[in-house]
Amino acid sequence: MTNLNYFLIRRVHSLTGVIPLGVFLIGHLTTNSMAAFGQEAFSHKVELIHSLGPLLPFVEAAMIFIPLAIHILLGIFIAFTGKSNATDLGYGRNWAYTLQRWTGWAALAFIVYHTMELRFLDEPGARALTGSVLNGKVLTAGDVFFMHLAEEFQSVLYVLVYLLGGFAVIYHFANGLCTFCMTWGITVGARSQKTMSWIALATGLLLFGMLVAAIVGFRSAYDSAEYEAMRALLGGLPH
Amino acid sequence: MSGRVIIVGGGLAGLAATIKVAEAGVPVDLFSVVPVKRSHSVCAQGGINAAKNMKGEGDHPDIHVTDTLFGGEYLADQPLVRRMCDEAPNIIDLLDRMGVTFNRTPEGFLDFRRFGGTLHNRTAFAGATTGQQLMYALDEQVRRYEAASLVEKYEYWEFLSAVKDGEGRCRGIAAMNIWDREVKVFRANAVCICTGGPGMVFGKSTNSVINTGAAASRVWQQGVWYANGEFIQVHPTSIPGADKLRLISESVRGEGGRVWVPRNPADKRDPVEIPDSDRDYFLETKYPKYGNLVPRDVATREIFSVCVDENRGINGENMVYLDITPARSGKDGEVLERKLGGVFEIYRKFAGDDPIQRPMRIFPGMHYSMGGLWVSPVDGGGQVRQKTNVPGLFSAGEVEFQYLGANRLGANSLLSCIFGGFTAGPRMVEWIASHPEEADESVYSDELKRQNAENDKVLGMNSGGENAFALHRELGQAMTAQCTVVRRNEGLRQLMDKLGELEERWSDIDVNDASTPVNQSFAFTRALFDMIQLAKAMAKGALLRDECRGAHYKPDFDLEKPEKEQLGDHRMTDAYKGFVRELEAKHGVEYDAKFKEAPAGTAPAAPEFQEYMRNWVEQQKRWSKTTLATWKPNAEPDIEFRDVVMTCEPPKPRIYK
Amino acid sequence: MADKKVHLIVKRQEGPDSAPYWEEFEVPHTPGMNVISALMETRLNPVTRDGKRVRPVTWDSGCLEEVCGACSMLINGRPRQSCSALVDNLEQPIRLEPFSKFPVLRDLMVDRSPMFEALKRIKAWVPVDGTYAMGPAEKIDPAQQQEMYKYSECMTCGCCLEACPQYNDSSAFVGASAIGQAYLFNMNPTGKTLKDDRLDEMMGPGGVVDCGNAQNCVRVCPKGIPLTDAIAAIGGQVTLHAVKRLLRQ
Repeated sequence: MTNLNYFLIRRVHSLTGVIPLGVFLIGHLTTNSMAAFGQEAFSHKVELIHSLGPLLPFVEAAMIFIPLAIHILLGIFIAFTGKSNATDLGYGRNWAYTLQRWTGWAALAFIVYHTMELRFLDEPGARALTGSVLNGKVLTAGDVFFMHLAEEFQSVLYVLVYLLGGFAVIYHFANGLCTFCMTWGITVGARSQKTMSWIALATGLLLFGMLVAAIVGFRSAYDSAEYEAMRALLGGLPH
Repeated sequence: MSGRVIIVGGGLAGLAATIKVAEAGVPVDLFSVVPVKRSHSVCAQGGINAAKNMKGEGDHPDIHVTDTLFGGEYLADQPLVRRMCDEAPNIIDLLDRMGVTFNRTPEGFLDFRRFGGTLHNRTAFAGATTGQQLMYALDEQVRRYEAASLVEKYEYWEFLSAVKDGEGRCRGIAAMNIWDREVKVFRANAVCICTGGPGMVFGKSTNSVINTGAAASRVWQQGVWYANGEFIQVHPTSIPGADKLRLISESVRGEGGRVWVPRNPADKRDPVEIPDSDRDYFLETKYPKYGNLVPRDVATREIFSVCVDENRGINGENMVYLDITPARSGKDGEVLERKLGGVFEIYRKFAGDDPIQRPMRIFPGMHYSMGGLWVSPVDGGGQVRQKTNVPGLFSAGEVEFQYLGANRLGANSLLSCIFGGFTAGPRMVEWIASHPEEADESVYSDELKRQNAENDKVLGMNSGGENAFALHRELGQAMTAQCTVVRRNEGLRQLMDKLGELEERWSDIDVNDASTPVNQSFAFTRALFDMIQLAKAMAKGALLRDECRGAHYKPDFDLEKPEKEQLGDHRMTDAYKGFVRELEAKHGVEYDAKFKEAPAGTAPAAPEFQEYMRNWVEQQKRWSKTTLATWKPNAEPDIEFRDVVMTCEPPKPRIYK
Repeated sequence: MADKKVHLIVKRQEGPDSAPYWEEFEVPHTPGMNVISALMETRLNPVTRDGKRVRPVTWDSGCLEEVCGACSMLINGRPRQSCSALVDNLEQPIRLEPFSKFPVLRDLMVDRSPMFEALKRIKAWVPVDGTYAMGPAEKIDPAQQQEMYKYSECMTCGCCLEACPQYNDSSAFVGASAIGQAYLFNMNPTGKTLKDDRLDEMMGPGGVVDCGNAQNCVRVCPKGIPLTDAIAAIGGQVTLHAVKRLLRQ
């Protein structure tokens, strides 16, 4: 491999983490945090995404799945070149480095679970239900997901999985923003790097706030009678 | 071009020589006992002299020559000093081109500062680590030649001996790989010894622990003369550590630092609790006018004599207090911090104490050897040769003797090392062009056998009761006590006996390690023998030289000076005039008028001063000579004295009116 | 004071291929002593704490003033120079180990030659035409000189590499010291004629791109060199260099 190719590969890893994956993460959490404002607001956002129609799978592939696969594969390779020593040298950035690797693995596991469950297992059911009429209202995919998630988040374990998985993804992104700026030579001095870490911390907290808002939104909007009615409609969602 | 060059030592001189040889297209094998980048030259702090006259002071290489000769009390061969000072500005430019991070003026020119022994801003500097910066610049150039396969480095290889053929010519070296103790012989048409100073002979000094002087001693034992060994520069203020002595700048005294010892040497109190009434500010008492600001050599001698002769050091150890605390110096702590912060940092880092809170503990420290391997001054064409008396063997840097005379001017050492190396390189290239023959294989195999036998002997030393490191401590203590600041013949005589005793006890060392990898105990034991030998050259030279000159101070032979009012201009005395005429006739030169004639209207010399100058001239005639030591097995070295070449200017007495 | 002791635990190893083991020593305490002088004391009478006579400890040292870079070791787990490690500032017993990222030669001494090889790789030199008198060099702005000076104090001691999680057997990373030198020589008016060569190296495997931004290097550097500034700056230079290379292909 030429030096230039090696460089490009490393930079692709760095870049994909921010664009498009970071951008997607922000959009995704924004959408889901709408759950805090109730089913209407959430469904409206989901409709917007679904309005892409047949283009959606291509957009998903280009914006999410392909960059994600690249980021994961290169990330695994990078993770194996490092040997963490934060327990011996417990400096802040050394812990940040170590956590970046740990959260990488955790995020990978979470994302696989999260995608498999909601995108590939639940999605067909949701599509099947779309257009049905419940309590005099025509269901959209967003409505189906909302009610489904409202039910799922009743489980404390489920909440915990999302809090931890969400934390891993958000930490990985926020700290990644800092290292992105170092790697690309944007923040060169120690002070600018410090400033950037505050910005990243704020970003991370904001995103985590959105996650919590979404979970709270889903949990509090749960209406067991309505959910049972929806299940009854088509024999229920898978699982 | 056929032929190879071996350079031993990778400090400034060795690297400078390597660059010049490689530049001429001749392959170099560079040997060093440590990775060259860790050589002792990195320790030089102050700077490097060159009369570039960048401050509009009318500085000139001629004045640099005069300052250097005067500072060295006219013991340096003058044409060499002339060459060095003339070349200095070019060397600075070259170092600058090589990327040395010299300090700059606001406009971006090289900055120069003042140093001891001159009135001119002549010293280029790079922060407080000039030696390190120069070293790295040369190291980088050598690495460039290494990458181009012109230089091969043998790092962690210890020089054992020169390989000499039947005619006494040097044909290569024997060296030992420190990692696995393997001895090998290497062919070369010319060899250059650039192995630095012998600080370890004094036990603790400001030198690196690698500066054993063993390499110099080994070639001395093979017939190279050792010259001016008795001239050892001692720095007045250093931090006496358990492991070494670290320099503390003299600027502390300049800012109001006061030197004292407790009146009662057994006083165990914390120094801050000792009131003034229980303190002896001995410099202030003895020199009411100058107080703590007496010249560096006087301060050195007084501190030394209080501790060594009077045994009044702190806790009976060789230490005195240097007090810069605001309460005693009368200076504000913040002001001190601003002016001396760098010095305080060194003290805090290595002594672990704060000079603003508590007085520093200091003692004079052996710092630099003006003497070293003898190299012949100039050839017929006036070229500097860097050549020892063994054909094919060259030398440059602190390990040779020739540029500094009886004392070294600050910031001249870096210059002499680089100039020596830059000179030795081309001289070796010339030499190998006229001496391309290969030596017989048996010359090498014989030397290999000899060195392996020597190693086996030392490795087998395991039945005696002596410890090499403890014996080294004794050597250092004896040398420091008798052969540094103040010298007396009685003490030096005892020292010679002591060295003989140490040599005998050396055979009783238990090496306590017969293993192969990095056997430091064994290597040190071998080197210790050579240190003891070299110590003899220094002590014997000091014993025989009955005068005071430069760093060599023998109070029993100090010329008695007339009262201050009776001092005059030396050029007005008949003795001096006659002396100069004699020198002119002897060297076939005519000195510049300014050295001979006092300005019109100068008062005639008083009779007492005439008398003093007569004695001074007698002393010059007797002792303006290079000491040459020849090694003798199991005996004291032979010493002879040789005239110094004085073709630039006549000696001038040290008179401060 | 008189009977105060210093307790050392030293990781020892006979040679490059042998297994390490530990030995404990106790030496008299003297005021202001550093780790080196404690080790020197053990040589005078190499007997362990439990009375066993052993061979003297081997370690690397030179100037003892923290400018030569020789005496690096792990002291209570931290990579540093043993000359500037004062016993009174350390927790006892003092644990001494050789650097773990370099091959051990014996006891506390390791082979750091890869560091010098790295300097060759990045062409850490100014390509002067020759050593003859060719007149003065270019003027340099004092602010730039000050910036360069910081990096020219690097003594190749290896602390930054020992501390770096990315510098290990499974990575070709050159580490912070070499990147700092690349940055230094790219700043020099003549040195920068080799800038493209250096950045080519910095782009490839083991170059600046392999840095994981743990920033331990800057924390352990005994000379306080702002290594992470250099890493980020070289990261930026490499980015521009790559764009240039791509556009000119």
